[in-house]
Amino acid sequence: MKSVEIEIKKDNMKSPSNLVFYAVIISVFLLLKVGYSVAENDDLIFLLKPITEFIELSTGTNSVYNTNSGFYFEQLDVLIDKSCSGGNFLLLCFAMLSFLALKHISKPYQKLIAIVVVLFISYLVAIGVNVSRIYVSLILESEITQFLNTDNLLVHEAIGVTTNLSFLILIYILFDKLIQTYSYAKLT
Amino acid sequence: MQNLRNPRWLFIINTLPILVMFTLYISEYSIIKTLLSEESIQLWTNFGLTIGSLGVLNLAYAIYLISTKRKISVVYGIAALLCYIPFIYVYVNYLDDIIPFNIPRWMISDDISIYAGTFLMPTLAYSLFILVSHFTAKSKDYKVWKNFAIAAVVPISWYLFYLVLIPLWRPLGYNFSDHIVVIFTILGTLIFLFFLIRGIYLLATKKSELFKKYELAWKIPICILFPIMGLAANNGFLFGSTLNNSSGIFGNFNNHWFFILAILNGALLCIPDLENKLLRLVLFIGKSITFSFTFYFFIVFLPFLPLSIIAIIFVGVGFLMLAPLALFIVHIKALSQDFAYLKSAFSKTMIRAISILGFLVIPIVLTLSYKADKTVLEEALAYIYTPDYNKEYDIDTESLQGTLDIIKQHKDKNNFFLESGQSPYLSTYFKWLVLDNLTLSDSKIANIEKIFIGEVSLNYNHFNQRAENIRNSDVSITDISSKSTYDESQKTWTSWIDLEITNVSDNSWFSEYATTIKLPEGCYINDYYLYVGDRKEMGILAEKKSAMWVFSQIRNENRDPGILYYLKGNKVAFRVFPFAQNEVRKTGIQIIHREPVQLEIDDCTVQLGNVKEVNQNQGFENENVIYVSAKDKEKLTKVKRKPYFHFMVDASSSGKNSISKQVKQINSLIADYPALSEKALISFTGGEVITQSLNDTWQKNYTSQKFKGGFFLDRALKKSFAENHQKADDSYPVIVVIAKNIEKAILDTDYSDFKIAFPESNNFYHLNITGQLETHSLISNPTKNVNTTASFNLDKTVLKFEYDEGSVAHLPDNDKASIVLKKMIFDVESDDIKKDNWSTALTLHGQWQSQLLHPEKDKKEWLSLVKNSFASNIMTPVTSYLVVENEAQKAILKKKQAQILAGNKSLDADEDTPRMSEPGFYILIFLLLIFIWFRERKRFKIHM
Repeated sequence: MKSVEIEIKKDNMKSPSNLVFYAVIISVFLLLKVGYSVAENDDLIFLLKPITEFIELSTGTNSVYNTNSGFYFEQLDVLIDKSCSGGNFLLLCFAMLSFLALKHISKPYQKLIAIVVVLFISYLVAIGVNVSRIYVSLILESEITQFLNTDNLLVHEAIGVTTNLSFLILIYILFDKLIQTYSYAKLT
Repeated sequence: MQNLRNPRWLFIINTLPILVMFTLYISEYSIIKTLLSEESIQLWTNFGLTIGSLGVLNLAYAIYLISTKRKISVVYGIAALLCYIPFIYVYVNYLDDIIPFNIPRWMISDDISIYAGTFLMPTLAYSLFILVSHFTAKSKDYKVWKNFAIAAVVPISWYLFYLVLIPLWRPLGYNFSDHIVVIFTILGTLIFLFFLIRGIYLLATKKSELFKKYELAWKIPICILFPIMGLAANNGFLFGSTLNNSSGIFGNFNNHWFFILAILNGALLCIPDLENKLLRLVLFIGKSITFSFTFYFFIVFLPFLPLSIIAIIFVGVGFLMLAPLALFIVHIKALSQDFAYLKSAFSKTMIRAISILGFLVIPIVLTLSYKADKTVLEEALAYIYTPDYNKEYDIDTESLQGTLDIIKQHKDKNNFFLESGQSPYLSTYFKWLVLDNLTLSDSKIANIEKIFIGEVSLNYNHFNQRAENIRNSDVSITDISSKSTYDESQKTWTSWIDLEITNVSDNSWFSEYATTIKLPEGCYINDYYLYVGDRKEMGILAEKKSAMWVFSQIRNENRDPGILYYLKGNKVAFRVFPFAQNEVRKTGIQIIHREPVQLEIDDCTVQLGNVKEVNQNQGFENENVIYVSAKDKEKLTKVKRKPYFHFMVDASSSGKNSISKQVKQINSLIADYPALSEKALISFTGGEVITQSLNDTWQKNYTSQKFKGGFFLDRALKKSFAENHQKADDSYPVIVVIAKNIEKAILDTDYSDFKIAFPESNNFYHLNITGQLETHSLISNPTKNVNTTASFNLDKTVLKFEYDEGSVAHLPDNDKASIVLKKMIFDVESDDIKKDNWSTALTLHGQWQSQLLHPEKDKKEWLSLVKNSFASNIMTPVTSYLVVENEAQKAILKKKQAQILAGNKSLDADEDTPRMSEPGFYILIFLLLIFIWFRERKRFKIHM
């Protein structure tokens, strides 16, 4: 059965129509990336607001929004602004899952739907992962910085990379398994 | 070359560069759009839409070809040339309208004019490759020399045309002849480049024995000689170094690494193909690493390719401009041959990964080196401008010198053609990474050099600010009046001083009025106006540096600015410009003050407030600051504090020679004044300042100093002021500088800002090389002595002021008001800031004093002080009152002010508030790709 699957995959990879979709994904990715680079806090409120709500809920604190600086948590003395919005994670997640989906889906209209669905899923995942990352940073950052006697920016970056990468890998494996099971079920 | 017709290339040579170009232009446009006229905006839109459409068409064509599995047609090559060449041509023609001259050059990137050329040139070059590929059938045996000969015909015919035809040319009208010449130039260039590329291509692919046998005969010139000669010619070595040794025609490629890499790269490309697979792999890795070098020069010289033909005609060595192109073709060919050979022994993925990683080696090393420069620079800047006196700094001066050299190189600009001290793209990257897109002023570089290295590099001698002849003796006050009103609720005065200033000069040159006003303690400026024509323009409070910059810009344009700003202590500079012959101008300053005072401006004295009207004690205190009025001071006890020596010895790089003499001098002083020596301190003052008590170890420690850097006396003094003010006990230091030459000391011109820390006397002493004691003033040109045969005057009294149960401050024993800080460091709540309020002004005064004594808080406090100043209308040493004539300049200033004020103080985030930022995008993408690659590889192996 495995060999059948591989053939399907290879065919899909080589399929010229897939190249069009790859181009669409890359174009959307680049477009969003350029948009994200020029966006300001107000433009990213659709990401920042839910993240802030979750952080408020999980830490029992309140924040106040300011256009220039973002959401400020006075009790925690931290800021959640554009740089923390999870926009980059969203983009990576979207590109990764779209490519993965294209490998297994054959019909063009399904591919198009898949790209849209993946974008929405990526949005939800980005919020969840980002909340986790910020929460972990809030709890562990100062502890690790003190323990290792090092620069807290480095620790923050390390926590961020570990959290985001772990989630990306996890999502990749899960999505891959899920979509393979689905394709397998359809084939049989 | 058939691979070259793969449509995927279009993404790399067209889509990607256009996207990058778009991003760069959008960022530039967003900065200057408010200053552009409607016509210019229309041009931006038209050009943007045109290039956007061309880019989309290219993308669509590429996708179409991929989906239909077709190769790029020769028609594309022709069409691209026909579209992009006219686009660049029209763009260059309209460049002056797209970026008009009224846009300040500092607002835009230096490279903006060559963006279009740079990013569209890959498409043009690629189109030529396509044409070469199409018109070079594999089956035919073309003669290499014929191609080179035809290529050579073009510059030769141009040369003849230039010599013979131009003198006979009868212009048919400027535009017509101009365009005809341009069109012929473009056509000629295309023909030239076509045959040149074909010649090199045939050379690189010829399989005939002759070319194989004498491979090195053409490879050595193309890969080693021409690049080296090109670098040498660019840097002026070939022309007997007519250029500055830190610049070049196309940029600064003087760094020895350029030459090392050129030789290494050339050598790698010249090594014949090896049959040993492992050695071949090593060679491939080497070529991949140096490919970034080849690629860099290819990109740098791409926009200038069309100029190469002109350079060949006028300067013979112009053909060297083609070296990067030739090298690029040979390098690509070498890599693809190695790849084809190695894929039989190693997996394709591995070879691809190696080539990508290899390509990244030089950029990564460069980035790490720039990062190291950034760290060193930040440390040095923090040490000088925001020091923590309790912290020990360890600055690596050698590394700092290297960093400064690099900064100077990247900063250097010349105006001859493209001659510049900057390296194309690398300087932009450096500025972005190391300097956050800002610049380090020449004076700051000189200051860093003076402190850490001990001397200023020769090129920067012009730092000594030019003596601006701003005070014109023929411009003076012809009428002055004041009007004071008493505010019963605040118990303060608000006084307007109205001035009429006249230029009585005989000449018709514009003159400037400039003076210095010494404000009495507790007087603060909270408004200002200047008549511009018949219009009364009120002053705008702005951040001091921006305001001074705007003032100098407007002054250069002979417009109407007026400015007020703090110099040192309570001294305020007041400047109005311009004054035509016999012109009379009206201006006025508003001051709020607690007590009635007399104010002197030039030779005029005005009374502010009425002594008779308000007869009460004017002392005042708020949460953080106390204002001790002259009346209050009359009641205070006079005390004599115990003096002690604080020696500041020269431990700079030039101070080592006089150790024994200076030890002798100090010992002699100790013997003469034993009472002053009991608690004495000594500061070894080089680039760093080390202070210790004058105990038994001081001589040993003195000789073991590093004696590095300049004589940073400024740091020693400020450190002493901060410590002395902090302890506020019944002793005070008598500062004695022991140095061979105090004029070499790094000193400010005035320490009035720190007056709070030396209430006894404004003097300090210098024991010169002959053992003579000189008196110097801390508040007026400290490097110059005021008395050459001085003796210590230790008979000074101060007034002891007690507050807050047990806290003590020592105030100058005079009949003037004084200000006392209740806390050394304090936060100012935004609710406490009130408009035109004297108590707020006093708090801001305290905040400024606190910032001076604790510079480590400067970064945070500066912003707070600027904002508080804006919110209260009170001018502080970090802000300035400015009147401008131009509405646009007013708008820029107001916008800036509004941005800073936008945030609510208590919610406001300063630079220090931690952000929960995402991790680096590229790190994540890199790691993720590694994971996916491993996983897919593993899966592939399992299925195999």
